[in-house]
Amino acid sequence: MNTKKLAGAGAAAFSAATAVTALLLGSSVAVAQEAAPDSAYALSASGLLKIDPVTYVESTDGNHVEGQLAGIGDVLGEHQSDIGVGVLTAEAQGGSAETSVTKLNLLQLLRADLVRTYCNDGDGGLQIIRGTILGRDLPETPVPSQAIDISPLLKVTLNDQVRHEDGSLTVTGIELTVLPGAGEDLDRVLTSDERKALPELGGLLGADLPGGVNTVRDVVDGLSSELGVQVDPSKPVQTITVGSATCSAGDGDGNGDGNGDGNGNGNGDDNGNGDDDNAAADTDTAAVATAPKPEVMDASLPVTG
Amino acid sequence: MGVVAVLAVVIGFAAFSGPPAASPAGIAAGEVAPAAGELPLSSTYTTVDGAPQDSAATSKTDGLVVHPIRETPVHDAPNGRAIARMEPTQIGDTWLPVIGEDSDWVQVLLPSKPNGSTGWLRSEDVKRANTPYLVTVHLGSKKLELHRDDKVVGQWTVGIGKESAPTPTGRTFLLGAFSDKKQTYSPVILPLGTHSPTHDTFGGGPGTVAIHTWPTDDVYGTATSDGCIRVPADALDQLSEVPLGTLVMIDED
Repeated sequence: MNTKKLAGAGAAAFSAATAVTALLLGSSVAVAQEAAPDSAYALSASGLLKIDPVTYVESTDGNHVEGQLAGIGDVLGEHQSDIGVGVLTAEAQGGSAETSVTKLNLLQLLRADLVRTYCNDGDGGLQIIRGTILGRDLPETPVPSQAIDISPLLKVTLNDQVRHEDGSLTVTGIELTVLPGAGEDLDRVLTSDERKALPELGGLLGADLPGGVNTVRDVVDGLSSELGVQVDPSKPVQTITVGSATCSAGDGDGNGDGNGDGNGNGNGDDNGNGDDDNAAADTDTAAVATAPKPEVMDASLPVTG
Repeated sequence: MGVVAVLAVVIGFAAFSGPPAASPAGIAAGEVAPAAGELPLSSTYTTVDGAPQDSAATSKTDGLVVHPIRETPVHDAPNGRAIARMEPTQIGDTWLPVIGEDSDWVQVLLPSKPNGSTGWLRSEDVKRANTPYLVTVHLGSKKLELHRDDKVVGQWTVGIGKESAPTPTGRTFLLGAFSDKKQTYSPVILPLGTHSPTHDTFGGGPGTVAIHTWPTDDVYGTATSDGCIRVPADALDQLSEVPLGTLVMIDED
C-alpha cells in the first residue's frame, strides 16, 4: 500500500476504522455530477454496495498531485471476489488528469490488464489493454460513449464523456450498471444468457435469487424479497465506475486561437502536424463525409398520427 | 473487514429504500426530470427555455449536419449561457442540422419545444457530415417533395393536420426512424424536430409531429390528421433512407 497523496473520502478507506466511516457516508458525496476541474479517481461504486472514490486526487492550484494504491481488499471485504484490482493510480494537474487500474476483474465478467482513463486540455479518452467482456475482446481505444449490451440486467458503458458548462470535460472509463432500466419492460421474459448472469448478479448484491425466475419483474421482486427492501426498478440497483478523469478546457473558448480555429477552414492549421484534437470538428466542409442512412430503432413515442 | 462491507451494504439498503423521486408529469416515457441545478435535456420530450428562435425559417442550408460525440451543453450564443444538454443518442444517433457557424461553434435546430428553437454547440463536441437531401412540404397543395442535390427525386400527395390541429410550418428536421408495436398504422415512423401547436400532449406523447404512412389511401390529399404528415408507402420507403438531420421545410404554399 503506497499512498503518496490522497484527498476526499476515499483516502479514509486505508484503515479499518476509517473505512467504516467512509463506506457509511459514501452516498453523501457527489461525484462527477458537477464539474471539478483537474481531478481523477480510479474506482467507485454506488447503490447497494457503496465505495467512495478510491485514490481520488484533485489539483486545486494547478500543481501536480497523485495517489496510488495497491489493492483494495480491505475496502471490499466479502466482495473481494466480485471486484478484483491490482494497482490503482490517479494524478491531476492544471489542465489534465489521468487514472489507471491494473488487473481489473469485475464480477468475473469484465477483465482487463490495464484500464487508463485520461483527460487533457478539454479532450480525453480511454485505453484498455487486453480487455474482455464475457470472453469477447474489448476495443483498445473505444469511441466515446460506447455501450455494450450484456443484457438488460447488466450494462457496460465505455469512455463516457460529458462536457460541462465551463468547458471542462469528465471522462468515465468503464461504468457497469446492474438493472439499468428494468422498469421499462418488467414483464419481459429473460433470455437464457440473462438467466446465466443471475448468479453473479445475486452474488454481487448478496441475494440468493429463488428458482423459477422468468421475467424482469421476477428479478426485481426476488431482490426486494431477499434484501428486505423495495427495489425501485426505475433506478440502477448498482453502479461500479472504473476510472474517472476531469480536466479543465485548454485555451479553447476564451481567446480562441490555441488550436487553429481562427479564420475558418484551411485545414491542417498552421504547421501541419498540430494536435489531433479536433479531427472530428474540422471546418473544411470539402472533407466532410456523407451523412449515414438512419437505423430504424424499436421505440415507443406516440406521435400526432 | 467483512463486517465493514456488510454494514455498508445494510446502510446502502436504508438509503436506497427512501422515498422514490417524483415521477415526471405529462410524459409516460422518455422524459427525465433534471436534478436540481442540472441542465435540462433537449429532446422531443422537453421544453428548453431561453433557446434562440430560428431567424431564417424559410432558408435552405448547405446540408451540413452534426452528431454530438459526447454529452455537451447547448448554449444560447457562442460562449454564451448554457441552457440545456444534448446527448449523442435520442431515437438512435442524434443528428442535427447546422444553420449557422461562428468560429468554434455551430448553431443547430433543437428537437425540444418550443418550435423553432435553436442552440449553439462546441464544434469540438460534434462530428460533421453532409446530407444531399431536402424535404419540402406544401400544406396548401398537400404535396411533399424529396430533393437530392437540388433536384426533385420524388413528389407525393400527402395528408396533413386538420384545421383544429394543423401541421406546423417552418424549418425542422428528421429526428429519428423507429417502429412501434403500439402504433401499427405505419411500419416506420419518422419523427420530426417539431410539435403540434395545439396538442401539448397526444396519446401520451409530447405532441411530436412525424412523417408516416397510413393503412388507407383516402387520407392522402386531405387535412385530417392531428398534425402528422401521412405519406404513401413508396414515399415512406424513400424517406426512410434519408439521413437524420436532413432539413424538412414546411410552408403554406
